[in-house]
Amino acid sequence: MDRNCINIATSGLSLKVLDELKTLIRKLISNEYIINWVNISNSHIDLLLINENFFDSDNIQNILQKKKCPYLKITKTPSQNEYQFDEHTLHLPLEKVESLLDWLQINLISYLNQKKIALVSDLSNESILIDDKFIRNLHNSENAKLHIFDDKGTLAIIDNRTQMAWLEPSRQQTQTNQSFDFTFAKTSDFTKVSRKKNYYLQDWLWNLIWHSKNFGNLATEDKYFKIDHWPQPYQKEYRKVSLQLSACFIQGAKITDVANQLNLSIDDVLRFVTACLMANNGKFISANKCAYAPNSYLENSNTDNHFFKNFIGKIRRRFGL
Amino acid sequence: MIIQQYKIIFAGSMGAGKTEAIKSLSEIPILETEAFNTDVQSHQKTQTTVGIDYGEITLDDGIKIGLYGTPGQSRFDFIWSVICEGAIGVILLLDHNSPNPIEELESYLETFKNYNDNIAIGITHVDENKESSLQQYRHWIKANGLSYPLFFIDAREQEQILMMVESLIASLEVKVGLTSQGNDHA
Repeated sequence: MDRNCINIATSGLSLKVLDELKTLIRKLISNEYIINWVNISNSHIDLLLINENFFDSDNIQNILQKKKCPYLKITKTPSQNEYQFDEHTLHLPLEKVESLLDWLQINLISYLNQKKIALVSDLSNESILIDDKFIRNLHNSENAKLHIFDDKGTLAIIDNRTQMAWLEPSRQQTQTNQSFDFTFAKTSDFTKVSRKKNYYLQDWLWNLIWHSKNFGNLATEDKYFKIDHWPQPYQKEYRKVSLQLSACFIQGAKITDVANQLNLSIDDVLRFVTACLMANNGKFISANKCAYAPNSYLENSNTDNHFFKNFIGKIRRRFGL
Repeated sequence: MIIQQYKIIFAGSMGAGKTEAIKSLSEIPILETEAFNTDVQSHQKTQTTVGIDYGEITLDDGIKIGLYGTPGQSRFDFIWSVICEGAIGVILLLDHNSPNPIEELESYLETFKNYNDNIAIGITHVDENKESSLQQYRHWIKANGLSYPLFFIDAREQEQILMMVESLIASLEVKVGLTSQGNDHA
C-alpha cells in the first residue's frame, strides 16, 4: 500500500448514498491522506462501508474476518440516540457531521496510526512536466475521453469532443498540484466519477487550476496575454478578482500592468494566466496587440472618478459583491 | 412606466428567464405584464412578457436602480431603445433550447450593442438540452472578435445573476480605471 493512502471499500450502497458519503468523508479526513475507493475484492482494505442489510451475509463476514479492518454499517432506519451512531452503525440522513468525524478519528485514523502509516507524503518526485505539448494533448479532440488524476487519485473524466467533464464526487471543490496528469480513460475509470452533472470542460479546468495555489506557474511576468473568453468562476469568494482579471485580459494585456492596476500580487495574476492556459483559453501575444490601457479616461477627471467610484462601490455593497 | 436614472436591462429570447432573473434581485414584487404568447413557433411558453417587467433595488443613499426586462418578442423592439438609454449594462439571456440560438445571439447583439455596449451574455436551460454543444457560443464569440462575458447559468439562481451583474461592473471598473491602487479586493 502507498504511504498515506486509505483504501475504502463499499458494498450494497446506492449511488446517491455513496456519492454523499464520498464527499463527506473526503471533507472530514485530512488531505494528508489519499482516499482510494476500492473494490471489495481488493487485497488491502482500511475501512468497509456496508449496507446494514448485507452485513450478516457470509461473504461480508468472511472479508471482515480475513481483513480485520474497521467497518461501518449504513442504514436508513431512525437512530435511537441523538448521535446517529450505534457503535458501528450510522443512521442516515446524517445531521451531525461531528458524529461521523468522531467515529472516523477513533475507529479509522487511530487504526491507521497503529499501523504506522506515514503522515507526510513526499510528492517531489511525482511532478509531471506540464508544457505546451502537454496542454495540446490534453485538449486534442482526437483524445476523446481522458482520465484526469493527480497524486490524490481521480479528478475527472473529460470528453474533448463534447467539452464535458464528469467529476469524482468527493473532489468537486478540490485543488491539485504538479502531479496533475491524464491517460486514456478505461471502462473501470467511469465507475469513479458521477455522471449526474455535466461540467463544461474549459470552466471546470480553469476553476481547478485557479483554485490550486500549489500548481506551478506556466507564465512569466514580462509576458503579454489575451484570453479568448471570460472564464466562469464557480465560487463567490474569488469572483470579483477573477472577473476584473478577465476584463483586463480579454483586451490583451501585460501581466505586470494588470497586477499593478488591480493591486494584486504577480503570483495571483500568473496563476490566472496559468489557469487560462491549462483551460486552452488564450495565448501569449505581442505588445502591439494589447488593447488594455491602465488608468484610462477618468484618470484626469477627479470629480467624475470620485462619483463613479462611489456609485460602483454602493452597488457592490448593495449586492454584497 | 417608471424610468429610473440608473438601470440594468435584462434582454433576450422568450422563455430564457428574464423575469425570473429580475425576481431574484428585486426588493419589490416585480410589475409583470404577461399575456398569451402568440408566437408558439419560437417558444411553447403559454404566457410571455408583452410590456416591460420592472423591479428595483435601493442603494444605501436611497438611489434606486431599475431592473427592466424587455419583451422577448421582436414586435416590441421599439421599447428597447427607450429603456436602454443610460443603462449600467445589458444582461442578455438566451435559451439553449432555442432552435437557432446562435442566430438569436447574433440578432440580439446586433441590436443591443447600438444602445449599450456593456453586455453580459447568459445561456440558460443548458441542462435541458445536453445534445447541443455549449462550445458553439464561445467559438462564435471568438470567431467574431467579441469580448463580452458569456456564462452558462440558471436564471432562477440569484448568485448566478449576481455574477452577471458583477461582470458588467468589472467591465466598467476596468474601462474607466477604477481598479487602480487602493481598490479593496476583500
